[in-house]
Amino acid sequence: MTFVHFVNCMALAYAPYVVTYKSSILSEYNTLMKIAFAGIIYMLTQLGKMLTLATFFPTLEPSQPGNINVISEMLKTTVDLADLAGIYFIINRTIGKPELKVLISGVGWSGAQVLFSHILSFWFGARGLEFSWKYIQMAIDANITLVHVIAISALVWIWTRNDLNRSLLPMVTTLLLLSVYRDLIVEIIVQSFALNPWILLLIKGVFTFSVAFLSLQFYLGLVEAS
Amino acid sequence: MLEEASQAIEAFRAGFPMAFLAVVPVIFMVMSPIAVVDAAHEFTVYRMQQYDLQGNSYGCRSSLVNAEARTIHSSSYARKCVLIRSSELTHTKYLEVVDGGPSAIVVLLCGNMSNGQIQNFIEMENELLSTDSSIPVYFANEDQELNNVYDRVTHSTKVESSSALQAMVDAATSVGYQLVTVGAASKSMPDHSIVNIEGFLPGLGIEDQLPTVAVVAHSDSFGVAPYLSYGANSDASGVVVLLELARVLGKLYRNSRTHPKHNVLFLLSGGGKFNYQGTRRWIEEALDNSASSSIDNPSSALLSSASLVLCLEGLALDGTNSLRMHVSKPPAKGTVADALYKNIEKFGGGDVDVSLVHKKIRLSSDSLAWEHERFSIRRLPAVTLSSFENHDHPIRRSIMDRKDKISMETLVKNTAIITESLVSYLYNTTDDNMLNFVSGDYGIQKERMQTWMDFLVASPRPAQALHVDHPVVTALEAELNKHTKGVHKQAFKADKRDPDFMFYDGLVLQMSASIVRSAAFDLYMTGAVAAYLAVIYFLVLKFNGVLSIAKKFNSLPKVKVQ
Repeated sequence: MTFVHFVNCMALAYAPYVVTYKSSILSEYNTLMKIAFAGIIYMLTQLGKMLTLATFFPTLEPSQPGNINVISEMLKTTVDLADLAGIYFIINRTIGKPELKVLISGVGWSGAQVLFSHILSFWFGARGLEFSWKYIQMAIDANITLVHVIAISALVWIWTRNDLNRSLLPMVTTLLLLSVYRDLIVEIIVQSFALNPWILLLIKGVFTFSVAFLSLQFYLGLVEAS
Repeated sequence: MLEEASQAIEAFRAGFPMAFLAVVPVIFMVMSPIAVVDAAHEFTVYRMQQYDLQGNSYGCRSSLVNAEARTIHSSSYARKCVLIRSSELTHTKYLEVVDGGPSAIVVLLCGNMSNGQIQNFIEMENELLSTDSSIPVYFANEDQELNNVYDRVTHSTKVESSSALQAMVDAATSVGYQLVTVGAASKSMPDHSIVNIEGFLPGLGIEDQLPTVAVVAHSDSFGVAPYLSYGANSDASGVVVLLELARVLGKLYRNSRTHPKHNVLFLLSGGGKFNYQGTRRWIEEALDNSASSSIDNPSSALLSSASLVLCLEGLALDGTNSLRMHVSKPPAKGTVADALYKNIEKFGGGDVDVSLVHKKIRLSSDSLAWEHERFSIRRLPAVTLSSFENHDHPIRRSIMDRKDKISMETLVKNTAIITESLVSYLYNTTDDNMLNFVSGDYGIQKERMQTWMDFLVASPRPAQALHVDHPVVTALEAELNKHTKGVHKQAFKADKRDPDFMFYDGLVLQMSASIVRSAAFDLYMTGAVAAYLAVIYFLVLKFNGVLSIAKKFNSLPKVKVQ
């Protein structure tokens, strides 16, 4: 497609990040370096995950489309728990208001993720001759990722708080686990009902916004109380 | 923003080596592998003939295509690549399309064409070859995916929008296909050689003093698209008959009791469809050899003493029951041609309709009608045996000359008649039952002929493909070697300074059809993205409002107060 298409995809994917940065308290507190720090932590975490995967799950077959190997995917996704550790580390190392902590880790982490996993696809794919909705879907997915990671960051922050009502802890933990296994769950649903990519995106979005809404409630509860 | 960036750069500069070493490899490792683009639909296209012959250019002059697809149902063709189904294609239609100024034409060859449509196509093919085309013309075998492409293009380009709104919606939703050929522009092939294969059977006695009969058939095929031409009738059938003759005669010549006092020459000529270039070259060399004393090629030197040159072409024509002897001048009484014709009449008269067709050589014409005319020009007695009633039968130069259009029964019958007549002439006998051609070693082996026919029509054999090491060429050489002596290949190139013929490459290419959207689609997309971003902007700006709404739903137990 045309260069305009590439620009469209880039704008759709990355402009929300810029908007979030510019019009939230992130820019007021001048946190670009901290966000870059969060991005570096993201990279190091991914590196660690790759090494773990390569060391401990070397023979796992990649699952074929239409027939996913649930057990092996489950094990692989379990390694993603390291993401929580990485986000926890960022929140721990950031000093400031709670919303600042959550936003820095959320925007930094998801920004790095979206940057590294999509930009080359956009460059080579969306500028290519063939038109495909795939790149628009990827760009929308980048938006969902932003909400997803901010929600996870909020949950991790809530989880670390001592003043959290103990009876809520299992719910928070469940939400965290759901977030980590989100991709796998959505994938299984889509596979078993043979749904198209747009529905996949919709389910992902609904899932993410539900988790985000719940984590917002917990977060507000904690912030109000303190 | 700028300040922040400069701060970041400053921080990097301060701790440069460490940060650099730590970060750069990680970036490379974390970057996900490049997602390969969804492969566009790719298919093989066969380009129309392109060649120069005796100073004239034929066929299409260019090969590169990069244009959006249209079909003949579309409203305009200008600078587009037009897809046409072969069943819908006639010559008038073709001219109509060319008038629209397309940048390329792709003809989809349907599998199931009616006889009338095939007839139309063959005639169109010959018209197409006679006109020079500046735009690339391609042929492709139709398949399911190509059909889908065709249908979608027809659908999206045919409908005339009724209202302005409808037009806007159509512009945004229409799906087009961009057709692109993979590969470089076509180049001439000055080093391509044409290959003749010859073999001979020496008669009993001193070769130079014996009369010689030459049997000739050309091995190449021709059609509007070289790599789609199988030439089953013209001239795989002639080659098969020649091989069968070589086998039977080879057997007779090996036995000292049946060794006739005649030499027989076999020639499988190349470039037969290009005004018999191979034959021409062979005659020139043979006559030069016989003139000079140093004979390095004794077999072809015998040509100068030939009593008859027998060319074979189109002997398996389905639906006819006739065998014709084409001559440039009627054979006089007592000549070999006359004797052979009488034999053919005698042996085949009951079964088939034998006749003599006389056609004078038109020296003013660009091309010769039959292969024997090459010999007749040089005053060698020559005839062509064929089922074709005249030389301008369009199937002789058509890609529709395929395996399913020939009849093996006709071929076997014709082979029996020709073999019998020739053998009868060689022994100068009138005995009807001299040899048993029905069974035994001297019988016509139908299975063998079928095998050779299957082999020859299994792949296209255009002159552009038949180089010295082509499987068909080596197989024919090996087969002749089994039955005759002195077999060798004669490969020759066109003259560097003044080429008689010139071929061009890029005749088989891959074409890809990529889905593309209109420019209006991009525009609407930009609008949608901008609107979406505006919404996001206000949501983030007024996040406190969002929070206050969210609070209203907050019914969770409050944090315990410590």
